[in-house]
Amino acid sequence: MKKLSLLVAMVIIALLAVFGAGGAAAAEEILVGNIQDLSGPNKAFGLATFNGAQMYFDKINAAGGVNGMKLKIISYDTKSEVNEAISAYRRLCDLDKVSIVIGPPIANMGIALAPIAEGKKIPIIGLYMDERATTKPDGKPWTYMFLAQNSSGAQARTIALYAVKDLKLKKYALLYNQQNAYSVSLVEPFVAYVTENGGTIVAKETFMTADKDYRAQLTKIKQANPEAIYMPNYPQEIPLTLQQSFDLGIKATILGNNSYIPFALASNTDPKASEGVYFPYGIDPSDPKLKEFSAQYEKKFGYPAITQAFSGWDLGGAIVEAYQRALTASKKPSGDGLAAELAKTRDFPGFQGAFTISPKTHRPLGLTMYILQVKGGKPVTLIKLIPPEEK
Amino acid sequence: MEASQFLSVAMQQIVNGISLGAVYALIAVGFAMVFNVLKFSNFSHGGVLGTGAYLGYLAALYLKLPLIPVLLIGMLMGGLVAVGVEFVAFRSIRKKRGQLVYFFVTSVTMLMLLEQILVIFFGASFFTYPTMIRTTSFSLGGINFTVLYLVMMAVSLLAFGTLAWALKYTKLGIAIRAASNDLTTTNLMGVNVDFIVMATFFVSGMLGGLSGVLLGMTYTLYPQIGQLVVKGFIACVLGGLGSVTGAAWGALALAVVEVSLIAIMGAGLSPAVIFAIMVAFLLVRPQGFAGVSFQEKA
Repeated sequence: MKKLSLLVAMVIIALLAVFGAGGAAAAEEILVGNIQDLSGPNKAFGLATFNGAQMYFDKINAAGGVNGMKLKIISYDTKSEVNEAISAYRRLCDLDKVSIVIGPPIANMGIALAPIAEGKKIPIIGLYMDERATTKPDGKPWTYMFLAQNSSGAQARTIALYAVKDLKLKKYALLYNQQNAYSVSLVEPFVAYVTENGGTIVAKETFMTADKDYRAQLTKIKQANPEAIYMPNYPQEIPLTLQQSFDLGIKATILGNNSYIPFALASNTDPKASEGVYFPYGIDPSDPKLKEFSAQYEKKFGYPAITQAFSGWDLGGAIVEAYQRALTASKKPSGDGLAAELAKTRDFPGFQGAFTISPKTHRPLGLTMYILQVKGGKPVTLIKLIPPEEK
Repeated sequence: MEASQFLSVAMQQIVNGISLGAVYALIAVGFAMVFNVLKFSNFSHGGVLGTGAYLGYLAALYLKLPLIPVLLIGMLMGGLVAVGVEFVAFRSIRKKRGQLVYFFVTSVTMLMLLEQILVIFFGASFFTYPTMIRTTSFSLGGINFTVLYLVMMAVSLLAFGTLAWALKYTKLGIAIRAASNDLTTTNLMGVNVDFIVMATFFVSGMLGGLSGVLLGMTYTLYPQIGQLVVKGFIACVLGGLGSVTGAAWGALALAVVEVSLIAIMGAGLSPAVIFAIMVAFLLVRPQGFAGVSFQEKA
């Protein structure tokens, strides 16, 4: 009987040891939240951001993790709805207990999450380009919000710089979605740059999210006879604006935003409608250094990498480096500690260039941008630019 | 602006309005068909339109069919889905002589259900139809015409012509007209009312599927594409609920007014002004253009 009791006790101790060790192993994971559009109209961006970050984490995990701890992503789908993003962030903070969150590449969501993060104190690093997602109206940064690609201001000033200095264009028209914070955030700095540098805005036309037919606005734009039309819009709107401009016989130069790949080349758009379009992009797709990643990405996911995939990789790198630095101060870094370390990100060798975050704005400093043009149905890199005020 | 330039711009905007009117007219006529017979606003027509658009897209993408077979598949599928909707959602309400408000609520529910089914199968992301018409536009006398819109107008005219002929001269058409006048008496006269209602939904669904495919080709394909049915509803109200011809004219008027308002005051204000015009119009002429009274109808 004594032997049996001893055996049972040993089994219990062994089980406790196994499960105890298991529990310890689970505790050794770094939980990273991920809020992306994984099924809605912007899922191409959401998936690319997620995939890029996941590929960086896979590389780190394969090499032993961060101080022996594996990185694990917990994802929620926003379906492109702001309220879903807010619920997901709250769930990640309160139930999943993540230490940091990968944010969505959607401006409206970044702007909505910024004040909530002040209360939850869990940092979010994402691709929401609108500057209001990272800085408050007084110009100071939101404590827990960080951007991992060029801001909308930087993007808009880059294409404006190219249009004014290189293309020598003077008369501009605008066509954009006035209900979309991202489009509005691109238009304002573009107009400021162009008008400060001798250009004029001869037509400013807007549309609503539900609208699909923009020919009334484009007819007015055609009548104003601009040299260029700036059309910074969302993926589902890009093929329509291009096609309808072409159908109305508009010959002006079209200037776009960083969503023009691959959506300017959609199957229902006449290739002639997108021919010659200029747009800014965060990476140079023809760079041989990116080709290895692009090949791995396409092999893993079955579709090509777009700019957000490269930004996602850089974002993953910034998270890992911040975590490594934070671990020297604390065994279990707090949201405040991680936010402080993210703000110290310096020269991470990312795909977008040397990735540094400005502590004054929580946005990257001096990242390069490229101007691409659609030639023969394919995007071709023309020039590498850093607008002076972004350095 | 010079007079000739103003005239050219005004003409272009009228062409823009008329071609948009063709889009709305197709939706409006399908919508008006069901109203004619069952006297309720059938918002599930939007769901049928969306389903037809996606099924036409699958036929174009995977079977690599040209334009006309894709349109025919969209029409057939739209018709079948509409018959299914009638059987599942509306038949029992009709048999139990349910109030019109039940039909109305069920139709909105069916619109949402069909939308969600599209989200489940295709996701909420958008798709683009493969290229089916090589030449997209041409210019005539300084006015630019979009080929797809012209195709849409031609198809609309053909569909309306066929529908008008069938309603007037075929046995089924006469029965549908009789049913639209008085469903109970038609039944007493020995007409199989279930079949007539089913046929009405089938024809309405065919128009829905047709407009879905054409809308998907002209714009992009997304699960909420069926919500354009609201434009069809406004057109029907303007044209006079219960009149198929009035619905077509209402659609044309709505599109021309919409385009003109965008040109004059911008896209931000125009929806509010359109609804204000609609309210004012109904105060003055509640029976719409066609003069058919819509009192006692939901």
